[in-house]
Amino acid sequence: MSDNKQKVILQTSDDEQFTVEKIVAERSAMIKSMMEDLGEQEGQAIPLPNVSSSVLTKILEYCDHHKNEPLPAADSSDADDSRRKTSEIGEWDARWIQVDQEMLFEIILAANYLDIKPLLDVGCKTVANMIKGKTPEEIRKLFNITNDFTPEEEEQIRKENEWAEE
Amino acid sequence: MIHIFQYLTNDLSTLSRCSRVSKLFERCASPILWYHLRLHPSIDQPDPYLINSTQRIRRFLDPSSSMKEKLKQVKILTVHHHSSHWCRPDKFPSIFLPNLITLNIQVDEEFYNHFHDRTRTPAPTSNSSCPLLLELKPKNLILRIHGFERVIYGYGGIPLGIFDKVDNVFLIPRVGIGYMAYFDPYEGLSRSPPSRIKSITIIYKVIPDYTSSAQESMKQRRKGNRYAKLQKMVEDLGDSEISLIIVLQRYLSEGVEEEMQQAINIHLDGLPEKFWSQEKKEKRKKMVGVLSLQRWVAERWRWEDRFDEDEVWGWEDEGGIL
Repeated sequence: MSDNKQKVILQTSDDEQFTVEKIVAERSAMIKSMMEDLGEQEGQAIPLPNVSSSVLTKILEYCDHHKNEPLPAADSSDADDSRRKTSEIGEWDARWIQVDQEMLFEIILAANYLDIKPLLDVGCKTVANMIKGKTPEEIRKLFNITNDFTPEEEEQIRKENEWAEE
Repeated sequence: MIHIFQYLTNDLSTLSRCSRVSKLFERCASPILWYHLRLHPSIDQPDPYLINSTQRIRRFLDPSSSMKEKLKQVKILTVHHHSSHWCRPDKFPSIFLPNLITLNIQVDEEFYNHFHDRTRTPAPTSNSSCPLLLELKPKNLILRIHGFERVIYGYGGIPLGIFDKVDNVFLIPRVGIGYMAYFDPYEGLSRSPPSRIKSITIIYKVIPDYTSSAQESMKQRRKGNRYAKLQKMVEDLGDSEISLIIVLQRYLSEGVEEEMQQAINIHLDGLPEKFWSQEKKEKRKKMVGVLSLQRWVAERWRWEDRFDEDEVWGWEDEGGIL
């Protein structure tokens, strides 16, 4: 039972199966609690209907690299808030997250679904850094967003928030 | 998306630009942008983190303006330099921050001008008091006190009674070591303590100033009734939790620490038994220097709702906690 090399099978939305070390899979608080709930059922795959195989491959890379770090405590969200100010990302993580935009957002969504807090942090920090210093028009272009404000509404908001944009 | 914007809490200009991208962006960015409003009436240079100049502040806080929806999102208001010149009621018709949780004011000597009519006449009228103090109903009140000796001894203290919805009070006086030893922290609060306060935390930011003659005159002054007010305060407040914290500034020279320890001992020894037992006092004496303020606050409450984040981080490791 104490064997760290214990394996878990994960099944993605496109029906691919991944056999991974338990310690790697446990980076995901969601999978961890699912395994606890299911108990030891050898050979049974854990379905991940919201994650595609390409995204899971990428995320498992991250989990494998960080597998020996202490897991964040389940109730640590408050303490995390205080650290949220720094937008710095570790060297390895920064290189790892250099992906196209579609993949980046898929990673964030999957990190949220799988409940991997440090990964969610890395993803969100990366997007925050992309937004920094850009004009509204540049942000729209970057993420392909339609401006649904009328010119009057946009001007109104500009005025209200003027103080923050000196 | 809110998760992403939380990494931009210190980048107000980006948040502001985000709120103009689309309606969805606006809904997500706006509460973070408006969460903590910082006013700095005395500075007229533009500063991205501060809303300055009297005229702008007045326009800003006016509830009749289109700002109403935005002002509802403000949870923390920090006033970096409270001045009676800009908050006179004839200049501010009213202040509208209905969801304010924390009011954080830097108090100088002038601040007390606002209290006079409120506290000395039985039926105070609103036309003489600062609307900030009169109309805002924060749950947490943080008063940073400069011009400390005049505030406490010159004007007879802080009439906390006017903040009748406050749960937690933080007083942060900047104080010299000499004063620290011979100062009854509650004297300043004794005029009209509010009845329902849950906790009072006094955080001394200790600075190495004041000549020995100043200390001598303090000793003389404090002779006799040094802790009478404290006792009264404890009786008045009943179940309130009272904490003292001492933050040594980093630039204190060697030897000062010892002096500080002495000051703390004198201070503790003077506390009435009823308030803290001898055993508790001895324990506290030993604890001095163990905890940083930041840790203390983080362990107890969610400090970011009360303090200016950067400031609390700045205090880290600066000294001992009593």
